Amino acid sequence: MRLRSRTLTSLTTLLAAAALVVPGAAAAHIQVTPTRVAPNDPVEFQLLVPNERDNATTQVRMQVPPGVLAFSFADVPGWKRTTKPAADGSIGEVMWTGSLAPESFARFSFLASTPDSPGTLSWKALQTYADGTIVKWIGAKGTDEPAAVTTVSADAPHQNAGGEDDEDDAGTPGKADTGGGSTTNTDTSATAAASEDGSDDGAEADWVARGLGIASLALAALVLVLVIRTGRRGGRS
Amino acid sequence: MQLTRTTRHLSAALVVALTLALIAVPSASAHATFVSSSPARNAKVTSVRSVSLTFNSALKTGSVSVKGPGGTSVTSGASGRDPRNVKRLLVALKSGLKLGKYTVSASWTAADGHKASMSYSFTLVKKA
Repeated sequence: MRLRSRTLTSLTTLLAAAALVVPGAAAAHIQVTPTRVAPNDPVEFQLLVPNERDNATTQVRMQVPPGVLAFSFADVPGWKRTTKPAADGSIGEVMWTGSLAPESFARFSFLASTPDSPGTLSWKALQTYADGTIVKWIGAKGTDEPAAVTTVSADAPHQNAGGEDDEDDAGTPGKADTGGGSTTNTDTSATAAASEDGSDDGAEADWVARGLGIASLALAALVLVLVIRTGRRGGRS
Repeated sequence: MQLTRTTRHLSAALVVALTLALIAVPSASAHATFVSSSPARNAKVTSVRSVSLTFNSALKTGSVSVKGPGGTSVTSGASGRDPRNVKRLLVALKSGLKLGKYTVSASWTAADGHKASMSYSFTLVKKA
């Protein structure tokens, strides 16, 4: 009995000492997923920002790597977002402002089209804390504060986060109606969506959704009429 | 007024139907919508060196073709995104253009993968 308790105490003491000795282990880094993407693919990226300090993170600034076309951002409650353009007019930098408490992480999702050719994307980011500290996640792999990295690889799976048809549609220049000089922005009307191109999964899904919506509304209208009629008949108390 | 059982059941059905209607709405995606062009649609211009079309969001790729009064192409060099503005398509035109109607046709792929196209005309008229 005594021996076991002494062993246990020794073990506990050893572990406690070890915990003190092991250098500031696994303070979590800013990360971006996915870490592997296909080229020329609309992808939903997630920027994961952990708070590693004892006061709040108040701002996160992320550089969009050249060749990446960010086009839509998740609405993150409690955070305001602004963007700055790059030289080519695309979104070059995204800045989120808010408050992230210690022992917490924030996740910022965004949709972006990946570059046309394979390579490496470096997501440089600056994390500002309430006490004025700015942690610069811009280092190379293996450093204390590395930038998150995503590899663009031809054999990575396609995500197609835009939900559009993947097939190469020979977009028909000159086919559109030119009678009065009209604009045929083919995605803005129901008939146009159907005739846009032959094999179009996106258009089919659109039609299913629209059909469901129309049927639901028709059903709702019918039920509403019945409710009113029943109410009138049975309602006199 | 006491709600009859029928009324209550129908009301419940109404709620379900309306909820379904809301869920069935397809989610929005960031299609690139045409904003403006130069020359503008149906414009009468006395000279033109290039044609540009501007959209409300980033394009991935795009091309523009322009046909003159004779029906032949009047563009000079390749068309594509403006290197200074990914929301704009650009193509240069040849010089010595004839007076008359010009037809612009453009097709593009938005950053979200959506493909669309459009067409419009403008007229080259004599300088006053």
